[in-house]
Amino acid sequence: MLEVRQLSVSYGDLRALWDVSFRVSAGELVAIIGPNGAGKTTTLRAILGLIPAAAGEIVFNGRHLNHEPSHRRVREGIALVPEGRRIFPYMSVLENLELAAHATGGSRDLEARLAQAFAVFPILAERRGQLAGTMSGGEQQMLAIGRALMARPRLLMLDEPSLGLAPVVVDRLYQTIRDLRAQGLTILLVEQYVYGALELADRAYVLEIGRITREGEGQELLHDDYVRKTYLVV
Amino acid sequence: MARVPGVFRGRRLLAVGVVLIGLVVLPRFLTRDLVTALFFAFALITVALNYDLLGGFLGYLNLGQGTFFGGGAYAVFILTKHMPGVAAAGPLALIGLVVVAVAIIALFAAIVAYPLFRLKGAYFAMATFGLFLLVRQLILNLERLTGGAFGIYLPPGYYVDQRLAYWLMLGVVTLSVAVNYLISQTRLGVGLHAIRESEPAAAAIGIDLFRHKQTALVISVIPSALAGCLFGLHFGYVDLESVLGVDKTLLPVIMAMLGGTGLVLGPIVGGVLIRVIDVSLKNYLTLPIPALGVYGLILMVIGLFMPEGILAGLTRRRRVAPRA
Amino acid sequence: MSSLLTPQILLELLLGGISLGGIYALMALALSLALATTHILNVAHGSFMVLGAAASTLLIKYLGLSPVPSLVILVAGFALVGWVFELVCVRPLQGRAPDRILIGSILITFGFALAFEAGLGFYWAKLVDPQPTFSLTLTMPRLTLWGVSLSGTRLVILAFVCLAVLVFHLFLTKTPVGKMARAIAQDYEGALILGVNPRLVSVTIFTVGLLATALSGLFFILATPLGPHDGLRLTLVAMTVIVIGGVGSLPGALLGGIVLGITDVFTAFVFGAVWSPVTYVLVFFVVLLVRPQGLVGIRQG
Repeated sequence: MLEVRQLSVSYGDLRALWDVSFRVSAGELVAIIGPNGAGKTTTLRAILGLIPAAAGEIVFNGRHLNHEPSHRRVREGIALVPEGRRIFPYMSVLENLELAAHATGGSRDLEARLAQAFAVFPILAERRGQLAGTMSGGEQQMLAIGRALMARPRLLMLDEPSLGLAPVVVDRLYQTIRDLRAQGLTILLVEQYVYGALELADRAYVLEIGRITREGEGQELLHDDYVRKTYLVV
Repeated sequence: MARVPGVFRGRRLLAVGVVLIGLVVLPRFLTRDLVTALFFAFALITVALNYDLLGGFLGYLNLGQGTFFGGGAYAVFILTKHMPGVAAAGPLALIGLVVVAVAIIALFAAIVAYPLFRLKGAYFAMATFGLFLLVRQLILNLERLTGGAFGIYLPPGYYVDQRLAYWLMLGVVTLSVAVNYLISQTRLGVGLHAIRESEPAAAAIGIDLFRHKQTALVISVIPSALAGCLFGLHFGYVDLESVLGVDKTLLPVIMAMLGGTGLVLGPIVGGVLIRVIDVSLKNYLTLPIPALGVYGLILMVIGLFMPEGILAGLTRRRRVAPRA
Repeated sequence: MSSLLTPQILLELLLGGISLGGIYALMALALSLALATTHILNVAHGSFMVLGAAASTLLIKYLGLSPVPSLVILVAGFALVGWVFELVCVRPLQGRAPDRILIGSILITFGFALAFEAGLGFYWAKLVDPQPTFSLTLTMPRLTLWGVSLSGTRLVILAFVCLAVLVFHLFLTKTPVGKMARAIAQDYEGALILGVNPRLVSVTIFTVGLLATALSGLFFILATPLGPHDGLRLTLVAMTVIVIGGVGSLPGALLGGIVLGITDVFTAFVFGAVWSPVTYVLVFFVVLLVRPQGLVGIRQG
């Protein structure tokens, strides 16, 4: 479904990614793990076109996306739940959700899309009139995911969804991700919470200082000596 | 910036000297009109260079540099008009009045720095233009002091004759070049550069942001005011259009932008180009719209197609070529 | 003081100040929406008000068209002009770094304003009237309420302002594009992530905003004439309103506009009309010194 080939990205003179290649097949849950500053967020930003690729190719369902602006990529079916959630704090929950539908041409079946998001996160229906900025961190993360679902994505990319959340909230969040995947959604998960991500993932990549250094099945990497030593602190 | 090897420095100094000597003796070989045209060009290039101290070095777009040019001219004329006894005492007294006028403008700049530098970006740019409009309106309204719409005329005895005015203005423009060059070499220049790159970072390493900006503004207005004084004294009168016309505050910006801001040479190159365009527009072409409109179009073209100016475009090409 | 301040005069001044301030608020709102959504400062903004004034003067006064067809032509024309302006002067800047966008936008729109003013003044003087002024008169009966009579023209201006502000409000809160514009103003990249098309927002904001600004020029000259060279001054007024009221804030724009309008009218009454322009810049500087973040709060770009 998504194929990234030898992607390189620079911020000014600083090279952030070097020849990064990976793929996500339909129905798969793929995780990218790695330390802070390894380039995980940069990878997602480049896939969505928020930062231009200096070299390499991004192919989604057979279409080359390199020269497409961000909003077209979203319409093609790539949705991102960004790091830090980036909900619109001065808009209501409902407005946040509607916005995502309007932006992707979903004004006509708005009600159906809303019903779908509310089915995943019933709390959003209860809080629909509340200003998004006044919700708790976990609720904001649900809103951010619900909002991404409003675009009816084919690929859902999640950037550090567990960041800053209490363990019990993270557990619930991961259950939701598991459910979404069971419904057939393709997911690209970027995490520093290595254990949770690898347990969940079909396949995973390790990204370090801008390069892919390891790849394999989730369980396989979970038992990999290097990964255990570096990321799981056993 | 890389250190310049001594040889180049010496050679550059030599080139500057040759150009200067050439300009000093030039009036001998030119008609009066051409000397006046050069005088005019020096005045505007001075303001362009001064503008660039904020616009290029500090990254603050000052659309009101002409305020200090016109302000200087008006200041010396108001002093002369209201203290005829002092002005009549001889050339030395007149110089004294010019010094006082420039000092007044510098003080004015130091004061307006307080509200102006509370702003950044577009707001700063528009506020400086607002200051320009404010001073224009005040001069128009305070008729008894400034002559209102009529302006102030001095008796011919005070005129500075053409050759002398030319040489003095050449001195002022040279001073401006020197100021820009020297500042780029000093701690003040480094501070300004740091502020342009990132204000929070500059503040974090202990740079007093406001003092730096205020100092840069005050330094930048002194040659402008001096040029304004000289401009008025040469022609013998000041009125709103002659010294505080919108072109006086905008042309320098256009010159600096066209040549390339942040470079000592930029405003000079841009200034010469604009003057050539201006003279040919006025003398050799019939225009479908007034000159100010043409400048507007030039400004648009710069903004659309070469936002970094001609020099930056050229140096980039030169820098890229060997690598390719 | 030129005359005594009776309750009748006070009320007239207030009405004058509020209707004038309402126009300023409308104009400033359009400018600040463009600034908030595209980071482009349109220095030529005031010139569009002048354009509106000139076009409506030409159509109604000189060509003798009746108001209704004129209005239709003007609305269509202004929308077209706004659209073209976005295409030529705004679109090319998109994709540059934010500080480059700002400097580029000042150069381009300042240049546009200069060329427009020079061209308009020159050709109007040559073809229409050697002393270019744009003004319209509307014969409206005075309205008498509780023993005080109010200028009908001022009330018409006020009605226009209220209607336009309401339309703006509905546009921003009820329409998809309006919501996207608010989103992009709050968090540019956050909006892109959701798939908001910044070009759609930019072209809509400029078309709608410049249409509103040009129309407000028509209503402005019912009370106060404008000249071809008033554009930059009007932009400055709009920026003052933004400094007082904050970027992209509708209530802030209304507050700022009305403060300025009332200051203007009372200054003119007490000291004479020549002092009004001075007060704008003074209010601007005073607000900066007292509250650099503006009266409502300002987010600088």
